Amino acid sequence: MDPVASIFQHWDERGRHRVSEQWYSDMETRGFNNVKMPIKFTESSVQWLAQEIVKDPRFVKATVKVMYTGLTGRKPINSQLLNSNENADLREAYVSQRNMLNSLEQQFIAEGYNLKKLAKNIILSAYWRADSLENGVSDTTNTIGSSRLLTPEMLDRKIQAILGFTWKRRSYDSQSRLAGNRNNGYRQLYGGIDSDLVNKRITQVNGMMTAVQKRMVTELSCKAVTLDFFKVRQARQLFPQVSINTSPVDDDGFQVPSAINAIKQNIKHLHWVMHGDSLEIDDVELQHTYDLFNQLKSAGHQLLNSNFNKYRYLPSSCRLYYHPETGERLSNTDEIVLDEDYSVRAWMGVLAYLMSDFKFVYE
Amino acid sequence: MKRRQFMQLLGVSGMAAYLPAPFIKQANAADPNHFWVMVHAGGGWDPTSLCDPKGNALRNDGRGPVNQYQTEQIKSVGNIRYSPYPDSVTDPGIFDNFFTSYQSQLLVVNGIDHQTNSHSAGTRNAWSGSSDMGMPGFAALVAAVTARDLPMTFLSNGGYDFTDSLVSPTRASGSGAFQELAFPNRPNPNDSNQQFLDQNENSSLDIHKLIVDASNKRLNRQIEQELLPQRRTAMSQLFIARNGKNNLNTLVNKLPGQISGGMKGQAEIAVAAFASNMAVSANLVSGGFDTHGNHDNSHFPRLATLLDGVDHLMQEINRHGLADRVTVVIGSDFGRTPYYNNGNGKDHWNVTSLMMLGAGVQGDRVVGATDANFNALAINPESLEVDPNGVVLTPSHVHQNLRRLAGIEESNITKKYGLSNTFINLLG
Repeated sequence: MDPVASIFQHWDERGRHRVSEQWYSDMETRGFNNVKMPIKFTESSVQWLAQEIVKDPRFVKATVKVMYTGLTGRKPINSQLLNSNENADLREAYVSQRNMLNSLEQQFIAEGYNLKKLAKNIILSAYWRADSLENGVSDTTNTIGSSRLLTPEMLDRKIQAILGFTWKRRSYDSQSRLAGNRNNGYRQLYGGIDSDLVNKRITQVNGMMTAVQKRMVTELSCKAVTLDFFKVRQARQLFPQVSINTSPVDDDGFQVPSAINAIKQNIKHLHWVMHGDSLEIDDVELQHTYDLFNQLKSAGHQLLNSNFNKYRYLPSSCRLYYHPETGERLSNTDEIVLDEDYSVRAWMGVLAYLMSDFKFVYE
Repeated sequence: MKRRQFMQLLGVSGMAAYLPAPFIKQANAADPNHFWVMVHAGGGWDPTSLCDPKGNALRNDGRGPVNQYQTEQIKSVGNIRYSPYPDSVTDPGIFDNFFTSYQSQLLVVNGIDHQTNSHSAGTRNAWSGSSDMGMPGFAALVAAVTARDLPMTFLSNGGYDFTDSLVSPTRASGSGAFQELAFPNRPNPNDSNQQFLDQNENSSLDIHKLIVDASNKRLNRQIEQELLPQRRTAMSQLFIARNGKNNLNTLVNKLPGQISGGMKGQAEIAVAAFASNMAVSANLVSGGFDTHGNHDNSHFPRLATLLDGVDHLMQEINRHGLADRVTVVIGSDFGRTPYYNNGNGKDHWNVTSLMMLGAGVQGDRVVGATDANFNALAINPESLEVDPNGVVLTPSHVHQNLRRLAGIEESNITKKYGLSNTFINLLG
């Protein structure tokens, strides 16, 4: 057994510090990298090991590699691949990426091993920020630019940050659907790990993961819209520009410019909070979202006309009967049950559309 | 969406150009109705405690016996020899049950030299046939060649699931939530009358469909406008994954009422996925074999769990009527030392074994051999008898057999990942 294992001789198999009187005589004495640990560090052997590891030049390389992989979701090109691959583009990409990593390593040392600064330097690097390539430049190795499929834990935090609540099966559940470890959760189905039998994340989307996305979109859009409209406008995360009754046309079918503007402003806000896109009010993508809103309202009105008593109500699982914070039963005037203009469901549709977007599930 | 429409859409959008190369259909002799299960004993198993038993004769070098159990207690059924339990460990009878139940179907390959005692290199070698980086595992390769457009063609619970982007591995263990995913727009999957987003037979009034269509159009626009190949590829993968075949509801109907835990649950989902035409290959994993300390007490129960899991897998295969269509391969990172260390553990050893059963495997056979100290012996490539002038088996030999059995060895994709050795017929 190696000398590093001997350094941990006072820890048991459960990671607890338990001073051991006896140690295996056939094991190497404590040390690292051909250096024996001086006896004076007996009581602080792990701290000694940490200092020795940091002194090793490979520490900087490994740290930069781990941070780069963690932030971009992709490992740097492995030099061993070049041994069995004659691809000239791969070789060129490797050299270019190695130069960037060397630069990051040097900055990391110069800045006193500051991890926050290393993260910032990676994010500021051309590899991360690139959004196009110069004419004549190719990227056959797919190494430029950032687009990582969010892990279940990342997506879970994003949902919490944007919608203001955690995705749970039932509101009183203690565990998140995406990040929890319950048997009926989605963490592993969404490519996550259990740190036991399954310890490697899936980084490329598959049919099962898109099934989870579809469930996420329908369930969460249903819940998020009524919850947000229940708040006073200043406190809303999703709908600060509109009321639940804001409609682009009045009862006589005439357009209401102020309402149209408010709806578009709110869609602009949604593109910002959900995708980080700062769109102009006349942006073509904003117009597409606005068109969808109107299309859904129009289809909804036809459904209402066909069977008013059936379609005047929100789906039961999307209704708001209880105060989101206190849990108290809301009065008839405060509860959100009816949707006789199909506005709530049109906004649910818009939210579902934006939540199923590439920019929501990748970053 | 039907496959034809789907492929047409890819062509129209120009998206096919950004697909991984193997997505483009190729002619080959592979059978998409042949399914594959790779069972990985994680951590490095000890074949001398399983299918290549040695016993407690003392070694000449003073390092004690290879095993603690007595040599004369070694068991056999047909041509298969297997390890008894040492006296210090309670025998639950699982070894006896497994070997007597599957002896007629079981092929044991002993004396395989993995040429490493590194977990990562050994695992890669075991499941890809090469210790070189960049080699896809067999399960990924066979899925890519035979059925790459199935929604979860390669199910992976870990082990070695590097795919070289040929296909995307799908995780399907540890969840009882399939019904909800099969019907994502129903609050209650069993109630078709309730929906989150209104659905309607008239497609112009189908709110759910209008949103899905708008999302697909938006993704198409994004793909067309994206300037970075890496991001465009990711977008295309998302589009393909969303719009491929989805038989999740069929899979749900084929699952047992209660999905088991551990490897048994992995087996249930894998076989249900085969039976519902969702997948063609799967990695199952059972861990805890890295027994550097207290080997016998830890390792034998792990082996029992593994064999119990394989037994459950075979029962599921039979339950779904797939016995003549599924091949099961059981292996590990490498073997363990043919002696005990001071902590009664066994460390890493490059020589190991592999077991196979199921479709295409001639059973009641043992191929390859090791000496009394568990060193690999060379065998004659024709007769398969021990021959000092023969060759020592490596994972590459095993994988050449797997590729031939799967009918994928002549595929252009497979040829990209060449194996070095000459072919030795191990399967009979």
